[in-house]
Amino acid sequence: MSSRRSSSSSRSRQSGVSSDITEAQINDLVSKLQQLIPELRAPRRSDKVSASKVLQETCNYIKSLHREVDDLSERLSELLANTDSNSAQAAIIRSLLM
Amino acid sequence: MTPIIPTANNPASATKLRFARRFLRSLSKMSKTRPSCPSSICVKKRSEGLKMAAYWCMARSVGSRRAWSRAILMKLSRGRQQHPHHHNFSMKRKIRRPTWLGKTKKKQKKKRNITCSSSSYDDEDEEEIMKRQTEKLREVVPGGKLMDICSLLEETAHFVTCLADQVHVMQTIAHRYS
Repeated sequence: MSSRRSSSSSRSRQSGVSSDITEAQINDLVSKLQQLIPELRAPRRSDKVSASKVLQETCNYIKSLHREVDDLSERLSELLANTDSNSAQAAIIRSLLM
Repeated sequence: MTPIIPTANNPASATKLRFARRFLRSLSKMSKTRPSCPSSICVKKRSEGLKMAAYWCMARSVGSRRAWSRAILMKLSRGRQQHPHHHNFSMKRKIRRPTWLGKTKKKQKKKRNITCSSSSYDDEDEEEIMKRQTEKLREVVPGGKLMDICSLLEETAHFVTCLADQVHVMQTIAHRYS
């Protein structure tokens, strides 16, 4: 709370509009978040997506990423049982650099 | 799902490489210390350990700069302290799963139903919907319950980026090993 007050008071001297400044900050952060979500980045039918929609899609995206991690760790544990080669490590890091 | 492609100016790519190195090290440790047993129970336990190791490695790669990584490190190290004999994450250890690593798929389905029913009140209760979505976000992002809304949104953005990087690295490793 105190951090929000200090940031808003540094930008505005009017006590009445401090909540508006915070809302502008929130909108800015929400739009930045929107750029990270694949579902909201590609279709650009309208300029504005509502903030609640962005938050909802963010939650869904995070949950789908967690599910991906679950599936991948299952796959990796099966693969780990079959191979213990370390020679692929350098190749993996190289492919990540490209 | 398209993973986020790192650019030259993207600072997250350094974190991604750190994560890749750490995770590969822990993978080779796990394959050396535990004999590979083909039974399904072994595979399941190892996959649980791998998953925790992945989150641990990502949080270590980010360090204590971010509140979400601090929250992950604290929660996972608490699990380690309860069982000091096991230094790696696999086998015979029940870590208390933090809520944001939700395994309870049934609960998630219930939450989605609530979202669908509330969407009809968009015009009237947008503030209520925002509050509800913010609460959901707080549950999903580690350490989210203690932050104000601005920090929560910043942390969420960074967390999403790092999680996507983590998924990309794991996909690359799985692709290379298969």
